[in-house]
Amino acid sequence: MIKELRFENRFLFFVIAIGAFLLCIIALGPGLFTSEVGANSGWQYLVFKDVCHQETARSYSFNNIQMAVCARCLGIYSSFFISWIVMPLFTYFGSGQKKMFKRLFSASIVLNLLDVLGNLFGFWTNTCSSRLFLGILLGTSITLLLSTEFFKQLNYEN
Amino acid sequence: MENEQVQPSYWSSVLIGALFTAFVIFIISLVSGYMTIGAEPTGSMFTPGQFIGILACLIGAFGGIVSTRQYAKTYDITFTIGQGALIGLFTGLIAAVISTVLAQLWQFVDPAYVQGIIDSSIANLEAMSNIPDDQKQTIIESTSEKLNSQFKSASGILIGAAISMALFGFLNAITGMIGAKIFASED
Repeated sequence: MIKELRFENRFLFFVIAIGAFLLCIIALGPGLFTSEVGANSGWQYLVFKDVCHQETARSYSFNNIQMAVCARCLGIYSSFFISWIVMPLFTYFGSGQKKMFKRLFSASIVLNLLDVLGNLFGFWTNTCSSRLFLGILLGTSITLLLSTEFFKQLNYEN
Repeated sequence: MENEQVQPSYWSSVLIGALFTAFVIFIISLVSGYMTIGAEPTGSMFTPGQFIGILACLIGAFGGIVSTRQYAKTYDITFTIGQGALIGLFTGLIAAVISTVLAQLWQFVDPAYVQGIIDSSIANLEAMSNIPDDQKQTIIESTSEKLNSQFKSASGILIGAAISMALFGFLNAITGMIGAKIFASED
């Protein structure tokens, strides 16, 4: 049996890849370009102000300057970009797993919501690492969900 | 060509998704804004305002899912992931414009709102105790300048609107694809 991948929706794939790359760069914040004091009000924060709470206590720093997004959002954006780039591998090794990908996507949303609510009501205290991990889970599951729309596996008999 | 079906217009679904997203963004930013104004500069580690902030995380990207779901359910049709991305993109662009207009209109309702945000942000910076005074003064001056430019100058407002359009357009294009995959896929 010979496995082959068919690449579809190429334009959309590359547009999303470039956009996701740019978002990752901006999400790292001003610390990527400078370590100067006063960079805490960089334009990067303005970009994400409507989609992220940007709480200092819930964010990582880069070059001692707070990143432009919180730990969870950093996990979502970075894992989305990285898994988008390696998407062909997912399809090559995980073809036929469409239902599982949908379940994983639903589960990652539920887990993130539970984490937020559990922390809010005092059942547990989440950390930057746990938020990052759950963000990574969500970002990767989005790519897995969409992977079969971009790469289709074709099987041939020898 | 004979078998090609003409699909119904998606603009009403786009508008519904955009209005939903714009109002949610506007209300969340308003509530968190007033909580910022009302909070003490040395507030506790976890306040109701922070929970509002956590809700804001990526909620602005849900419009793409709302629009594609509305479109698929209303007309009981399937469509491609590319069309889902397009519906999401338009939803994000329109939502960004509407939320910017709403934010500007709010200044007529409460003229002290913007100045309150700026003053509270500066007060929070002044309450920082872990950096030397001269560095703190530099941060306060640059932040004050940027906040005034962002909220009060026409160029600052237009740049903010353009950034929102780019970000919401892109994020909603992704959620539009997710919506197309979940609600309108032939699989």
